[in-house]
Amino acid sequence: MNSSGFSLIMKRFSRHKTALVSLILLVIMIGAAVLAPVVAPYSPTRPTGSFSAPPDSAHWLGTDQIGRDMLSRLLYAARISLLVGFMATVISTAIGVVLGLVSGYFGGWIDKMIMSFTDMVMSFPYILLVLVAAAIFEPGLWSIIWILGFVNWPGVTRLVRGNVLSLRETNFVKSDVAAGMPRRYILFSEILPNTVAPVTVYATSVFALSILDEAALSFLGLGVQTPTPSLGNILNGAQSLTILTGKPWLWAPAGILIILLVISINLVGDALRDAIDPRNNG
Amino acid sequence: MWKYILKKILLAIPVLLGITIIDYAIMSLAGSPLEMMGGPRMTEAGIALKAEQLGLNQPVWMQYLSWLNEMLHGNLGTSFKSYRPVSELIGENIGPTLLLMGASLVVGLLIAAPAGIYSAIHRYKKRDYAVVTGSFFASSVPGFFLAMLLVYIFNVRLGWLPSGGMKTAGIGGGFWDVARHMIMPVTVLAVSVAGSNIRYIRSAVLEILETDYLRTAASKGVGRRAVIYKHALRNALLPIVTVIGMQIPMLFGGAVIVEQIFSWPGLGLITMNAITGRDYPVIMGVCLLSAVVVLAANLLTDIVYALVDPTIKY
Amino acid sequence: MAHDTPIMEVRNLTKHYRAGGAGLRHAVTKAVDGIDLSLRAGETFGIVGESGCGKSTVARLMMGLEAPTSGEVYFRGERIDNMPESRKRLLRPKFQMVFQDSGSSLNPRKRVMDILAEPMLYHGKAGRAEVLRRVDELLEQVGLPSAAKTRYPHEFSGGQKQRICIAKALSLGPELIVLDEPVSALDVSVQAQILNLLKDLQEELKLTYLFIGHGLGAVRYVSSRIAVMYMGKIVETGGADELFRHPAHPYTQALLDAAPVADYSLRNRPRIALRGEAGGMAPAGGCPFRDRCPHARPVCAEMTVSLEPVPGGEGRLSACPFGR
Repeated sequence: MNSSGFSLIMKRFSRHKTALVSLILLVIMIGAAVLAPVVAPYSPTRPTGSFSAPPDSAHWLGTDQIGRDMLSRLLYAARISLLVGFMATVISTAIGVVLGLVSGYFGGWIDKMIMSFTDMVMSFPYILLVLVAAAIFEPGLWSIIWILGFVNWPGVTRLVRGNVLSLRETNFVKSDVAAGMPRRYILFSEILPNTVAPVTVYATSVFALSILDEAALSFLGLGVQTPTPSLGNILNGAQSLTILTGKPWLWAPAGILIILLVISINLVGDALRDAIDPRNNG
Repeated sequence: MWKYILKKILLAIPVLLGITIIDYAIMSLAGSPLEMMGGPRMTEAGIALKAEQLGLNQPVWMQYLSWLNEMLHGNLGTSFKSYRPVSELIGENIGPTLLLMGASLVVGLLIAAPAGIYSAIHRYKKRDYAVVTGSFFASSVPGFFLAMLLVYIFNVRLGWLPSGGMKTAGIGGGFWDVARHMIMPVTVLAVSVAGSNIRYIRSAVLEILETDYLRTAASKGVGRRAVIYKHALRNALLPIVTVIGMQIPMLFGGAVIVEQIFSWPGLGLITMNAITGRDYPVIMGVCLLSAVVVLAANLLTDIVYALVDPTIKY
Repeated sequence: MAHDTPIMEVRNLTKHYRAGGAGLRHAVTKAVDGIDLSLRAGETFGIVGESGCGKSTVARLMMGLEAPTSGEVYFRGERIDNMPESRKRLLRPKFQMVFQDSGSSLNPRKRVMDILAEPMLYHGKAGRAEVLRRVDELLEQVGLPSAAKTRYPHEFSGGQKQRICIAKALSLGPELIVLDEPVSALDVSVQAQILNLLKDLQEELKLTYLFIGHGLGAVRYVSSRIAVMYMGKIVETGGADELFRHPAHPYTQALLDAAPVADYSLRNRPRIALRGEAGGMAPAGGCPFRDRCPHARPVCAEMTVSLEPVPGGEGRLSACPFGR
């Protein structure tokens, strides 16, 4: 992206106050999660206090049933959840971009095949797909990453394909064809850079969705497995009625953290979408 | 028109087959149901016998073909676990799920449509931002967490609503009893439906408000209110129809989780049990059913679209 | 003039588009309908016509950006329309194109120097070491400062962008440049600058131009020969001056009359007004222009029209038997 285009986008972006606040929040949350080994007060896996103690000055968010510090667990959990969301987004985006580029540029029967496959995956109740896959593959961090990565690409494919179709009609691509430039040059040097902005925006929503899905799957016990903490499996532990009613510090913070993460990502993505929209001038 | 519908149906068949193949492939990839059944009490010979009985000793593609063959003859197979026909299991459980999904869709859209329209009309005002932020919030809350919160508040703290199930044991089963059991699960699903639809409806209405003929109508002095209600809404119906079609897969996915939390006796519950127990025929049956429902919803959307929009050629 | 092989030639060039509808009953739009053209080295050949007459399609077919439905395209006597792209790629530098909308002709994410250098590097027209010097040279040729090379397209005005496009077309050392309405989108004052630049470059580099336009003024200013297109067909062709002075086809006459005239004494000349609009469906059979022609007579609906020599006109052809 060129420098003046970037600063223009930043200028437009910063007009959205909620998005700016979200961005700051997001940076703080991601920073704390990434730096969990540094900032977490205790180990996330070893008991450091009494069982199920409510929040106090030593354990700000209390301790869980076996005496582990909840704040530390939460930080490490956010780290895992962000990792899952991020990697799943990278995988879906990569698959989506490749298929979209191929489909849009080559057209013909290749396009037809890819698009009907895309429709197939899209029209499938994908939680079902995820559940089936999650139940069958050994549950764990990397299976959940791959599973989520493999279900969220159709949207990216459609977006990229649409972009390629319209870019293919631009004069600069036509003048490249006229100049005898090879396909790989047109595809990777001319078309791909022009899809980066819309794909980035779309990727934010895939990121948010992946975090939600990881939480749901881990909540059902099909995702990240204990003792590795994730935001979803912390909530999984809160399904019993005694915890739900008597020990809200064991589940409320994790839920709130998921909501904060997801809504910040969504609001930032929405403001970005607005900022790169060429229909907005100035 | 009939030709158009026929063409769409014919196009849906390979998609349906593709979906069943994907399902079967994923399912068979990593695990055999025999691992789940085999306990210390089962001998190797017993397992082999079992495998032969269930046809699991054949190659996967043969298993798939025989499943397909049976399916085409209207036989969805028998559950590995309960030994009951899959169609019977599905038949028993489909009602509550449809009730749940239908109610959630209606409630969700009843929230989303007015909110989206309101937001579009008051674009770039505080009210608009409030609605949009609210919708982001609604689609950012994990369904299961909302469910937990609702149970905590309305069941544990206030004691107003039952925590799960569809009827109160013994006395229940009447309309009001079921309705009381439905409030929380429907709320959870409706919030997610509303969350994702408010922005969609908002932008659909906005797009129409920006079209030239509406500007013309406004400039001719037709009152703003009249413009919006007479022209804009009628035209916004079209994109809204598509949204409803797109909701179905999402709703079904949500229903699986919500049914699990609220012990709602629907398809989602038997699906989860089938998945954890690797009950192939049941999983395949549910997948097939959901694929058919989704494709039927898409087809219906296309037809309604074609009926409502005269500019579409078919 | 020595009549060696034409630099580019098209024979019976035809392009049909399917116009909506599915299956067997689809309608066909004949965008280009059996055209013959032959460009001589060093000349500027103009094609005029209203928008939708198929003139830009002719340009794209000649450049090999689209495949013709039928007909042949020759470059220096070699047939190129059915040549595999891998072989045609080597020939392509010889014929380049400048588009109407200069804004979308330049990749917004690239600096001018990348836009100009990449094709040269690919085709080996310049090595890594000298490519920047070539970029400077090209920019100077089109009248831009060398500082322009580090900037992005959106930092330039429409006229400057068109200069960059011309530089890009020149970069591969072409013999022929197809100019598809290169000035239509520009302000009038800028139009003249670009037209003069094109003329100077032609002289300096011995270029051949195919100049497509709907503004008669620009086409006449640069062209030595002209073809007038109507609904996918050439209706009249000949030397520019001759054709403008004594139009043989009523459509040419109408185009001339519709054009603004600077000379005040000519303001009140008798005019032929065009009725209706181009771009609809041509009437079936007979002369396609007859619905809008002021001189239409019953026989026009039945005759077979073809380009025939105009009596007394040197090499001029017209499709109307009455104006000839």
